[in-house]
Amino acid sequence: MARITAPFGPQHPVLPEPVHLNITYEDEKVVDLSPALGYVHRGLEKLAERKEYPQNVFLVERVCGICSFMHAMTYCMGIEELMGIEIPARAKYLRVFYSEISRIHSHLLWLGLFADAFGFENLFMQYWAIREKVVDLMEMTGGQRVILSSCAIGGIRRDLNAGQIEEAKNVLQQVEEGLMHLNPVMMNDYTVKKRTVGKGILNREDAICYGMVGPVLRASGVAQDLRQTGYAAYGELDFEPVVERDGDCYARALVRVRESFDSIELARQALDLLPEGEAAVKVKGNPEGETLQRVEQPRGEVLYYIKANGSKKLERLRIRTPTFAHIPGLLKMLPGCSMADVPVILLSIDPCISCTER
Amino acid sequence: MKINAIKITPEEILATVQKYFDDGYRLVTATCVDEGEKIHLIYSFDRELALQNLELCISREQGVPSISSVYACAFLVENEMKELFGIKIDDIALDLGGRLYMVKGAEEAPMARKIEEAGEGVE
Repeated sequence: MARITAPFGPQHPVLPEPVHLNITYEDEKVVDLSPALGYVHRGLEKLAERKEYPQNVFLVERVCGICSFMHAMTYCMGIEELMGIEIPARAKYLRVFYSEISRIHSHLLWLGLFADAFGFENLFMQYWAIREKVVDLMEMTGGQRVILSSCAIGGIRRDLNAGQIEEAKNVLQQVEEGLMHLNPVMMNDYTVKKRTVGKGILNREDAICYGMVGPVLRASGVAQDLRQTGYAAYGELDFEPVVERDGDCYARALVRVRESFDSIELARQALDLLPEGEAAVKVKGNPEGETLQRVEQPRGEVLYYIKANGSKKLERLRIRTPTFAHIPGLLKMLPGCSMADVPVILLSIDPCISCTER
Repeated sequence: MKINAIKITPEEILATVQKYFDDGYRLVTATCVDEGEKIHLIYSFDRELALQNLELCISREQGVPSISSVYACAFLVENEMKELFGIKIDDIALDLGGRLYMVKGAEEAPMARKIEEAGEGVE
């Protein structure tokens, strides 16, 4: 049968950001593909060598709008390790709180986009209506709706007062109730299952071999979540990774649905156990040495390599984002699928091109 | 965490990486640290949340073999290092020929550190 190669993206209705796949088809079946990126590459790693290390907190927040807090936190954790800074206990719990509301925000954003990818626009709007409450919570606590700038080297820049903590708990309750009402549609609806079950399967061995991370890895049966390492205050909170075994698009959606509830619970625990005291310590001097830091972002593991020479400017900042790790997995997930399933499978990795291209 | 990388040579890399693969490690990424004349490549592997690092030190002219024959997913980061830093990486399973990010006619190896840049940040 004759083969044709057709571009998917960079502009496509399911893509919020530009990614380009050259896909080869036999009839309507995908047989091969290769990725092409570069539409939004900003060279942020190189720019970080030109800025002073405290300025880079604001720079790395702009790697990705959705995971902005966790980018800043990972960078700050690295600098704090190099400088031997012990942050206050209150800051550790606040970092958990901000991380988890970022994760809820990200998962709800994805669940909406995923529903939109298979044409369920009503579900998309309902998820985003709940997400709006989380974005309002971010504004109420951090002062911004997306890029919070709450994390600082040495702790947290914006502490929470008693009123904000109470209001945050109310919002978490509302979000939980909204999700309990809405999630059965994502989990049980005939249309959703028809478009997602058995699509883009990645088994456990392939998920490891292809370097998958986060919800994609856990949807293939690997119980690995970097929060298990106990960074920030996770070591003191009750937490188990969410795992599914089928490795298809439906399993990836279920992982994110269940993780949204876990994140609500973790944010609640962080607020309930929030220690009294300062939220940050003063930072003096410059970092020296090299370190690797990993954090569990909504899309999965992010890795920061930082090399410093004792001056204000870093020698090297390297960021490996979760979507960068997920792109090779598409080479395993997509071949054999039908043309109509490409958007759904591609969305199932929760692609963030802003992160990928840094 | 500290790097604690195991130093290896380009000749040892494929056999060493194969061992990590056989032992069930996931390739996390490869990191290029460009010091001008010397380039350090750090390969990071994870198994059950424990990180292991391998480090290669090469000259700019020296090539390294691709590890994509062992870890297929390595093709992406290897294309990135080749394109942005000008590292010579041989036999990448899916070699995008310098077109992962860049377009024809663009500056070559835009993130490579020029020798006069090395140590620029030192006060």
